[in-house]
Amino acid sequence: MGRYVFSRLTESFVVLFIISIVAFGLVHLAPGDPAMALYGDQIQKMRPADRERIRENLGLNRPLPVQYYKWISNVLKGDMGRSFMTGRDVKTMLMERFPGTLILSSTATLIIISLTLAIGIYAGMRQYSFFDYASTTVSFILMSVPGFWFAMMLILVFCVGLKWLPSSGFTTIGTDFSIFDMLKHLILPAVVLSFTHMGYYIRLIRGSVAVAKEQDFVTVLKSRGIKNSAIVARHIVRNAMIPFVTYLGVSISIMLAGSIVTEAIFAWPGLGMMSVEAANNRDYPVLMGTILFSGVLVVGGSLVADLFCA
Amino acid sequence: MVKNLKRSGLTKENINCAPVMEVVDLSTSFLTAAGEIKAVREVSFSLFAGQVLAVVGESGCGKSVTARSLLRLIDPPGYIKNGWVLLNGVNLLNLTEGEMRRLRGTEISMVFQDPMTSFDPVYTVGRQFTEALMAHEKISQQEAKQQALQMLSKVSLQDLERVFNSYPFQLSGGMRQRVMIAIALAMKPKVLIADEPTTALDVTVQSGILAELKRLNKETGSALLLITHDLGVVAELADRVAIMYAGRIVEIGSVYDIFDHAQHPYTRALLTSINPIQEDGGLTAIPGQPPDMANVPPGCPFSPRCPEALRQCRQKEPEQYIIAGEHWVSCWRAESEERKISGA
Repeated sequence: MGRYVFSRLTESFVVLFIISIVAFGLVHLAPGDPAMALYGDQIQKMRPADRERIRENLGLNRPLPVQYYKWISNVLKGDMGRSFMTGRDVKTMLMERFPGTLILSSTATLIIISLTLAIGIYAGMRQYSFFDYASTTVSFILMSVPGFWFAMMLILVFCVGLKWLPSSGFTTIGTDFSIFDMLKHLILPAVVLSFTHMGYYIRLIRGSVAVAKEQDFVTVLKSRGIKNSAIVARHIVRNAMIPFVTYLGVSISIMLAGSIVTEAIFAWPGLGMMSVEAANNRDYPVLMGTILFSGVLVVGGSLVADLFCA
Repeated sequence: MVKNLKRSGLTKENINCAPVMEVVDLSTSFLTAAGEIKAVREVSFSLFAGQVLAVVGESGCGKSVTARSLLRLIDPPGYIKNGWVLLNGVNLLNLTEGEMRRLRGTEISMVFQDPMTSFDPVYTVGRQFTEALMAHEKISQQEAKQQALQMLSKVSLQDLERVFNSYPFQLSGGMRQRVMIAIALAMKPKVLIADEPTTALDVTVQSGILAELKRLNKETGSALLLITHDLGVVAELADRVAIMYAGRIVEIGSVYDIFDHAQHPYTRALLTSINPIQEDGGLTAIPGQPPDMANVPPGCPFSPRCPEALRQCRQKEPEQYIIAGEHWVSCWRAESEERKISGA
């Protein structure tokens, strides 16, 4: 066990190192210029000398390997740099936005786990029944409907039509913070985020339950007079959970890294929206920060899931 | 019924020692797209305390389906069509699922073919042992563990605590099969069914497991139904032997009847295939293939491969004839009025 943990940890660090290079490389190779983004509308007034000055100030005129070395050594010291746009500390910005994403993704995860487990196990145990075909059809619909379209349809029905729920933001602007208000804002993004993931999970758990219930040991347990309900709950589901937990570890961390589409549509102040803003503004430190942070979460999440299974 | 009981092997010689289990006219079929597959057809036999009945036959002849039918472990599309499985005079086929469940593991147990896949990989074997005990008795985890350890010591395992706390993959095939046997016998069942218990094991481990089964069978006085295709195992272990072909028992008798006075051409062909190497170095095999069970030919199912087939063998299924005592055969060659025990 100790050796497994050690090798898995080493592996994770190597992966994170590669991610940091890719994050840095992609951001700097992408077209666009932070200096131009900084000028925004007034781009006509920018003289070449201004541009050079800005690039000098931001350290963008140095060779890329030198920039990378500077960035990564600061990151290792805990300093993720400052935003080009606002001059604020990237780490502080990440920590500000993370709770929003955390609330959204944990709600979505709870919905995913409870609904997909119930539907998937029931469908897997009654393979080829009407319920199974119905759940398969629904899963494929959920998998193929694009999240942004689904989100807009929900807004159309519940915000524009029925006027039951707010369509954007974290709380109603101009009011004091209340849990109830936040929950109302949370419903639609959480539904969109969880439903777009649910199709895969229903298929996954249904498939693995269907496989597990055909295992020889199920007949053996039956031959010992163990109750059917106990065989399903203790043995079949437990065996079927292994791929589920592994996959969940990965997708929880992907969601934690910020759900770009959902957060952007509902103007949910999370990491996803922050990275969209950063990309638009060519705000390299913020963008690299969010990518690296996502990387840590994904690698860490699958590490935890693997250790949990082991 | 009397006629049927007689066919099940209950004769004057053993009338005083009543059988533990009687199987009469058991038929199990599978409904498939290709039609009804009659995997087991009107099979009858009796099991006696402390005795071993071996059921022998080629793959697909219905041995395993027979075994599973006794525990009612046939999953759809299979179903038990008719017959009686009498245990203490109660027909198991009439019990509710809940009543049947309480008998599984306590009155009838089963040891399966492949000890690799017979354990749930995510629990320790000890946990699976205590789970079986606690499904039938109101005892604590600790008491169950004590019982389990005691039973494990009876199947010649060492280092019991370690075995108990092992996951299935941490044990060898032979050890797992010993644990399986210990679990199966833990609640002192009257009938133990062993479905090819050594087929998946190394040859060197096989004899140890078989010796264990035989010893425990004598010790606990349970009746053992041993499913196998290995005639060497039969000679070593069995008191009585039933030969199955295409879902039917074609001959049944004591191990001496079968090995020394085999009546059915199929039995004789099986026996010559034990020592298959001929003087010219070739192999003695039974020509042809067993019939397609969805499409069993008319008459005796063995007739297409039978070297002694008569014309009527291909037209009408043979009835059953007593050779001596509890030795009977289903073959037209043995036909005579006074031997007849079944039919119209």
